[in-house]
Amino acid sequence: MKAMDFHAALLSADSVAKLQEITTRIQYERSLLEYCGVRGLSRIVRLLESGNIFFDDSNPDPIKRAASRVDFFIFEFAEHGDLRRHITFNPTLPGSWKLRVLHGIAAAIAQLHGVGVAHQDIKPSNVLSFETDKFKIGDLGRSSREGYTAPTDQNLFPGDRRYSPPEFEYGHTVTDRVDRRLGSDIFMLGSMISFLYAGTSASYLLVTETPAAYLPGTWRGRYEDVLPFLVDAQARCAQKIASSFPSTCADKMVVAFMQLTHPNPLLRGHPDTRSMPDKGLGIDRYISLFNNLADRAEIAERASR
Amino acid sequence: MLGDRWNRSVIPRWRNSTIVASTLEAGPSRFTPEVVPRPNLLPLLDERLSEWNAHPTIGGAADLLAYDQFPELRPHLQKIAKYVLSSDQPLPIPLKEAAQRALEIPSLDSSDLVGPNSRRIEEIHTLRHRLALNPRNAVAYVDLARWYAALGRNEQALRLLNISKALEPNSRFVIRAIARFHIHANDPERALAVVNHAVALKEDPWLMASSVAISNLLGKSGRIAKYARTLVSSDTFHPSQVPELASALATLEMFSGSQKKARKLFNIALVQPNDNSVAQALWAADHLKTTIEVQDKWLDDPLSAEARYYRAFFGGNLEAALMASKEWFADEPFSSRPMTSASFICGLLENYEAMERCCRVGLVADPLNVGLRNNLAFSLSSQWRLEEAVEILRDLLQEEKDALSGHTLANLGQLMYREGFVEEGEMLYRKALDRLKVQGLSTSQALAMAYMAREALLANAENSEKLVAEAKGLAKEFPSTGVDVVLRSVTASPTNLEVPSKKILRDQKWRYDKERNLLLIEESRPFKE
Repeated sequence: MKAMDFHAALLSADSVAKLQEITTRIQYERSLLEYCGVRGLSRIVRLLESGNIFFDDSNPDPIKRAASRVDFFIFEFAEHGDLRRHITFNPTLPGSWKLRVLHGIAAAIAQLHGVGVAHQDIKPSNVLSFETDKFKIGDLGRSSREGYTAPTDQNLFPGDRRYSPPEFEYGHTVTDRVDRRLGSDIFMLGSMISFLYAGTSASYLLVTETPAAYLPGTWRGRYEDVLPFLVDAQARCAQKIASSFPSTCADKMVVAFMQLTHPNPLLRGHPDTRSMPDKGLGIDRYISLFNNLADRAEIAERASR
Repeated sequence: MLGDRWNRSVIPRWRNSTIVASTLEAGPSRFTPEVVPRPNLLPLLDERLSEWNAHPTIGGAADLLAYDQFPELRPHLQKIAKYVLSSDQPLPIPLKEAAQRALEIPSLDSSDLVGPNSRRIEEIHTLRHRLALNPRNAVAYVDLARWYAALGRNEQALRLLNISKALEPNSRFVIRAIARFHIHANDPERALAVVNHAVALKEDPWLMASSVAISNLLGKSGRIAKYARTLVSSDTFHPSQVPELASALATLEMFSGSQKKARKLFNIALVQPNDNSVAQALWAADHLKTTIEVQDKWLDDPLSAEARYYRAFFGGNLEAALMASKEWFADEPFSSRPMTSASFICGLLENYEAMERCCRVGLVADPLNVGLRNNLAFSLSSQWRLEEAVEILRDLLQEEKDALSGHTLANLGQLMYREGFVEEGEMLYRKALDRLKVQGLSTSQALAMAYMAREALLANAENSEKLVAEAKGLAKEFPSTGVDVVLRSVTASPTNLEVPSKKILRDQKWRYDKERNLLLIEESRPFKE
């Protein structure tokens, strides 16, 4: 369940604007969730019910009554909670599990992109674990839908800054929707690779491997000029996390990580798909890759039992 | 061994990309947009910390540690970091390092545990692996090329640099590295062409500095110098961006005789200097025979090894100069100058074995370097390993055929003296002196004279006293640290000049053909026939 409290908005200095903002967000998210339900997106957490309740419905003061309003969304129940709760770095966790998580995220992204939606806030807390090996993505509050204006569209990057692609931290934006919005999603898919295996986000790793002079906040030049150093830093990140992957799939995972988290938004994604005009970012290739690697890992696990 | 003076230009340094990142050169000069304001993330973090406190998990802790990329939030992540480090799970290295970083625990750098050679090989291996991961990493190509250049593998280095240029044709880092490489490979024309073709030349003071310095090296006026002079005097750039440009322009003025303008430009360069401009200023102060107020902080910079070398050498502190030249070599392992300097100092200190080692180390990166080969020949002759010296000098003679250098002639003179051919020795030294005079290398001339006097004393030549007096006269006329040291050794401790009882005798027969300017060696065979 997700609940949105109007109380704080009513008490804020600019309460009218704040209320308007919250209302718009709720309406937008609800319509998007319903749209995903209608389109049958199986990898997106399903909205079961939505509405609002007044905790102080009988209060004669209309302001106090309004302040007690809470809007809510009730979603299908994720038995195992989100990724933060479920993940361990213990070798007892089957190797196929993390690959199934990645497959689930990639499939969810593909489903969203397929209906013109970019999620823009993929992070461990938004990846939910259902029955065995079934993973879905939730929280569409920061999403952007093609042809519609989302409440967060004016933000440089609407999602969680810990997982944001580097270009936004430098104030660089690309105009093309695919490179900007959909490209952010696949960067965050790459970030989930590093989170699952190395315990850190790709953005964090990039910051630690970038020389201080080129960090956001320090660098005052153009993004194009700092990019060669970020490309080098990203390769250092890949070298660093390489040993965290199981040896059976390390090479492929490193390559996928490099492609998905490329600091250049125009090159991010699968190079074979990107080299073809208007073919997108190649998310389908990553779905196949993770599925294939997960299948192999499961076969090996069964054989070893 | 006459190399205590050279003309220095502010040619670009070629350093590892991570080191460049710590220098003024890393700053942008073309465009300065506002820094993206970062929203206050603390309330959000507090909220998430409360959630985590209610249900602490390793996954939640890892998720929260990603906030450490925002330095202002680090103090709030201590508890999380301690939780991660106290976990009994086998942690992935990046997560463990993230926790250590949040707690500001220094992590052990494995490269500290290996020696310099192993480190060089390890660096190459790491860079090759990095390039295998992403073959479009221009920075890694440049870094790898630098190591290949240090190993004397210039063709491979050039190939890698060309790839980096194809990938990043407008990168200052790439362009300056390529220019430096071409200078190293004795092709300054090409270096100039690379810099002058850069799209950002007129907007980037670092590229302009390289263009002016290389033009100066080539004796050209340089098409950008006039424009650059206007920019430097008009405060278009921040002082931190123009130390090399102002130094390069100052050097240009210095060579054209405008010493007042040169001093003014050097002062601009030294407002916020980098190591290259400090080295240039120290060199110029000696060249202009003027004094310079050096700030200690300039020389404290670990990258200022070259400047420390000049300061120590011109101040007569040979041990400190030797130490600085070795540090300089560590900074620029592909460059012949640090080891030329180190070998020269070792020669002055009369440690000829060390001198030989320095030459051989320097020749790895630059096997055809004439100065180093001459110094090597000198060190071998000085150790009475005359046969080996002959081999080197023979090659030099063949290469220099029509334009024999004063340096080579002097070393040939030394060889003749040591072989007992006193007259030929003096004749060759005299030729060397003439050649050096024509070239305007007055301090080298005085040094050659001092060495001739020393060799004459050593060979018990009849005119040795007269030559010592002549050397003293020339030293007065053209004073230098090197000449002082050699003459002190000649006059104060004649015991130093004793011929070892067991000198290595040559079994090859050779003679000097004056007309053809050749050392003719009879072919030696494994068995005597």
